[in-house]
Amino acid sequence: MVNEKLGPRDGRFRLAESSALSATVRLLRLTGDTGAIRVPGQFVSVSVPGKFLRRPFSVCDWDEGWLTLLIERVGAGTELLHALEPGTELDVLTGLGYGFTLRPDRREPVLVGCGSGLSPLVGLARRLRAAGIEPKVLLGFREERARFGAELFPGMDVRYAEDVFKALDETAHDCFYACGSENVMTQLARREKTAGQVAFDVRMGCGFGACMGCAIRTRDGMKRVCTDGPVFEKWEMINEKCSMGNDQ
Amino acid sequence: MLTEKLGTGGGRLGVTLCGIGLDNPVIPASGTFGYGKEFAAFYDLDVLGSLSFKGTTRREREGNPLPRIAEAPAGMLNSVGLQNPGAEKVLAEELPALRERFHKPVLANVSGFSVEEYAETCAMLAEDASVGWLEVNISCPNVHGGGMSFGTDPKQAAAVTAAVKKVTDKPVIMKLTPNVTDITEIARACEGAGADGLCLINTVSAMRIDLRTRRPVLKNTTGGLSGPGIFPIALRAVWQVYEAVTIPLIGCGGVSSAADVIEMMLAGATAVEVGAAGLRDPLACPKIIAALEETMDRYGIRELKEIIGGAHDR
Ligand SMILES: Cc1cc2nc3c(=O)[nH]c(=O)nc-3n(C[C@H](O)[C@H](O)[C@H](O)COP(=O)(O)OP(=O)(O)OC[C@H]3O[C@@H](n4cnc5c(N)ncnc54)[C@H](O)[C@@H]3O)c2cc1C
Ligand SMILES: Cc1cc2nc3c(=O)[nH]c(=O)nc-3n(C[C@H](O)[C@H](O)[C@H](O)COP(=O)(O)O)c2cc1C
Ligand code: FES
Repeated sequence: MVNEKLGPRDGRFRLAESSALSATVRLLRLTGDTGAIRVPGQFVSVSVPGKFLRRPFSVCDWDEGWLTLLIERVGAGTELLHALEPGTELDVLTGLGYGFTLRPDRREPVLVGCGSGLSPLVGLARRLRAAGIEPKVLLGFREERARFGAELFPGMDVRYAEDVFKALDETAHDCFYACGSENVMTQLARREKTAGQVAFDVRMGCGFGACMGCAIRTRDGMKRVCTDGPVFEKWEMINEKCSMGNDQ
Repeated sequence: MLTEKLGTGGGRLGVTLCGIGLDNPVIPASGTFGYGKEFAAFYDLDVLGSLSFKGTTRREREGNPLPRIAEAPAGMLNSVGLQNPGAEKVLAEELPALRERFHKPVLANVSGFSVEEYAETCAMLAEDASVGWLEVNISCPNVHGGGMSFGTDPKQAAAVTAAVKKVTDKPVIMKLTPNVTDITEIARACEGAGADGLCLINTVSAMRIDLRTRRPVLKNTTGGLSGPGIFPIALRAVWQVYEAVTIPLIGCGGVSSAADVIEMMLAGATAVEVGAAGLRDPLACPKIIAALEETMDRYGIRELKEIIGGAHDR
């Protein structure tokens, strides 16, 4: 029934492992068909038992037959996901979203992850290295005690920062790949001189382009974060946010 | 070929909606199906009875600020605000693309902010060969009439109906909001003004507050509730309106299973629309359709068209 040729895919996954990365963050390893995932920065949408809407999460890393998700507990849905026992089966839409475009011509990239936004940079870093590019990694946390994640970038130049803008200014680079809150990503896109891409999350309905729940205004017109993003080129992000309208 | 795939209205699942045959009564609801492209990645759209495309206005609309979506105990809230590319683009780009993926007549869902705008947009969309029905959403505020919704005032609802009827010979289905004291009053007004059918219901006015920020979750403060939680409300609306009018009804609101389809039809619906369920599970509609015959067997139903309004006293 599912069209194999096109983007998203509906699948069953099994929770193989769940481990704590910090007091509020867990790494979940799921096994199942990952054939629809093509590039880092794409996301999956997990059906959470007891919740109506699915919850979207970046693919942290993946390969044939497995993927990992880095999940920060912020509310009821993520709390339920944290409590799942290994062996639990989950209904997951994979292959969602437009991910990072790897630029082999830029040899000195910096990866900027703010909070749980570091997640998709894990798979991205692994693929850049496979292409012979050594990325630097900046992990932004407002509080020192919230820090986690350096261990997910083994053998790489990883630094924690409280002020990512300052840290970025102090890091030599010729392009950037970043993921974090919409607010910080928009600021970063405006400040940065080098070419780059930003990924951010917004509240979503469907996650596959049908409901218009996630649309933002970009320099290029209205775009859906779930299908035209969540990764956007720096130049697409403008200052103004989505606008107007009065009723539904 | 359009004609080859045209619904016959026959078979165990077939029904006839305002003179046009449907292979089955299941129709994805407007605003939850875009213009069909996204769902074509998951399944063959031709399994559907028909589909209702995204609420289209005369000109492009960017919609409301984010967040536009919130969770509810048994469903979801949205305050999308009718974001759409405008009638011209829909005709030039979306409908030709849809025609390649879906080969049956569709419901053109139209919104507007004045009577003239409704009529103009309906006239434009009705010209398109793939449009079988006009589905006129009157839950928008009337910008010339003090912002009151067209759908909450019987006179304004009738005025929109009459204006749209004048510009097209295609069946006109008025889509009603449940956010009124007496939905039968609006239904009768639309029927009196010439409506060929009614679709009930649109979303139920609602809100959520984020405990961490102590602010409404939706930037627009309020939004529309949809999903399983509103099924009994929609069912009640269909039941009441079935007793008040003689034109066919589309039941919409919370439908998530084949059993829900049957329940809606027993209350008086000729067809049903499925919204939020398809956002949660993109395969909801094909799954519902696939389960219909088995569910009919369980309840001793030979043909679906026989049960329309079957729960009412005769
Ligand atoms: C493309 C995409 C990728 C994402 N990747 C990750 C990831 O890798 N790791 C991760 O931990 N989270 C990620 N998120 C965010 C994650 O989806 C939300 O945190 C989660 O859905 C919250 O569910 P909940 O039921 O726990 O929270 P709710 O009970 O719904 O809300 C609790 C709190 O979280 C906030 N919140 C809810 N949804 C979002 C959201 N989408 N964005 C920002 N704040 C939200 C609300 O304002 C509220 O205060 C991603 C979101 C998107 C859209
Ligand atoms: C995200 C979203 C967008 C919607 N947009 C429209 C629209 O443009 N026009 C319309 O008539 N109804 C719109 N609706 C209402 C649905 O078509 C339907 O009437 C309602 O959601 C109830 O059905 P459900 O409970 O099955 O979702 C929208 C609903 C949702 C959830
Ligand atoms: S979340 Fe539905 S269109 Fe993006």
